[in-house]
Amino acid sequence: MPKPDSLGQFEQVVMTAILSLREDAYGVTIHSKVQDLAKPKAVSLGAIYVTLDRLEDKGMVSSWLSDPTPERGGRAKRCYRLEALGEQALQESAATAKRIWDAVTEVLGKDWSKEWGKGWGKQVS
Amino acid sequence: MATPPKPIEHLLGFLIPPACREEVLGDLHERFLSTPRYVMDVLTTIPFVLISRIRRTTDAVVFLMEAIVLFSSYFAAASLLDHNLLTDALGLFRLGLPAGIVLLTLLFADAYANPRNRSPLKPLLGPALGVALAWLSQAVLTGTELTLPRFAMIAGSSLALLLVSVLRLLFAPAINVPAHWQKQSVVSFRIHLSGAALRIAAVAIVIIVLIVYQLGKRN
Repeated sequence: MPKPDSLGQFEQVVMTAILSLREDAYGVTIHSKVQDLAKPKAVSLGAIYVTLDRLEDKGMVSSWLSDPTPERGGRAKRCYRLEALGEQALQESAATAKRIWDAVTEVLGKDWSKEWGKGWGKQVS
Repeated sequence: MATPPKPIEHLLGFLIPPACREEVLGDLHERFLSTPRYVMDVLTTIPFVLISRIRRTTDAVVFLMEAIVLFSSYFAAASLLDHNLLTDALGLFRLGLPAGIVLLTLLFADAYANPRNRSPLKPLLGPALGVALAWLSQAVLTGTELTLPRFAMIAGSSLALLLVSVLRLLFAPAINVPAHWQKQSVVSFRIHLSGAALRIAAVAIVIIVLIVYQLGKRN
């Protein structure tokens, strides 16, 4: 398998959204999930399309058109799923984030890391 | 359930490149809450979709080749027909103006190309439209110092049309795949060329040689 390109932060968020949505990953649901993950930042639908196209070009995700549905005015959805290369890249990104977190905890101590964790909780809620 | 007004949906849908119109319009339809918000949603989404589409359909190397060929065509026409253009303060800018318009038209024509249209002559539509718009711009600029002399414009546009058409037949713009995939392909361009495309390329080369010969004889 070829070595995957490194992912940008926004690409990581979009790929995490696709991973968690499984079979239901398409423009609207991915956007909604990304907004949850990227809080408090606002994310536009257009930025999601650009990132999805780029990830598809890199071979990280693949897409297909589903059947048209009435709630979409009789139009089809473009559904996305992670490819093996994408899963590998996401795993590597998660491992890097974990190593960073461990290094921060080692320097600042466990009490600091707990305080940081509480701060994240406040930001999300 | 509230849905966007059909005329507005059709009108705004026209601005979305056909390759992704179906899914983007469907997503925007699903998100519909009110008409003003829908219009804002569409207008803020289109630039992103368009940029992404341009990135996918434009190969930087081919784009650069087209830019060089276009400018060279008008430059060659000027050097053969009107030397004053080359020494004029605005001369190079005047030569670059129609070339730039054709280049921009090609960029947008590729982005808005319909992937379902598989005509072998499709790569020629962009240059033809570009040259037509370049002529239109000359008509709009009539009376200013930015226009080119008519003979230079005719010869430059003819050369540009022929050379860019040949270039696009050899390196067809990517429609369904990202452009860099096309470049990475190990299949040589010779295999992509159909019989019709080869004949058109041969005729174009003969016409170019004839034009250059005739222009040379005039001087």
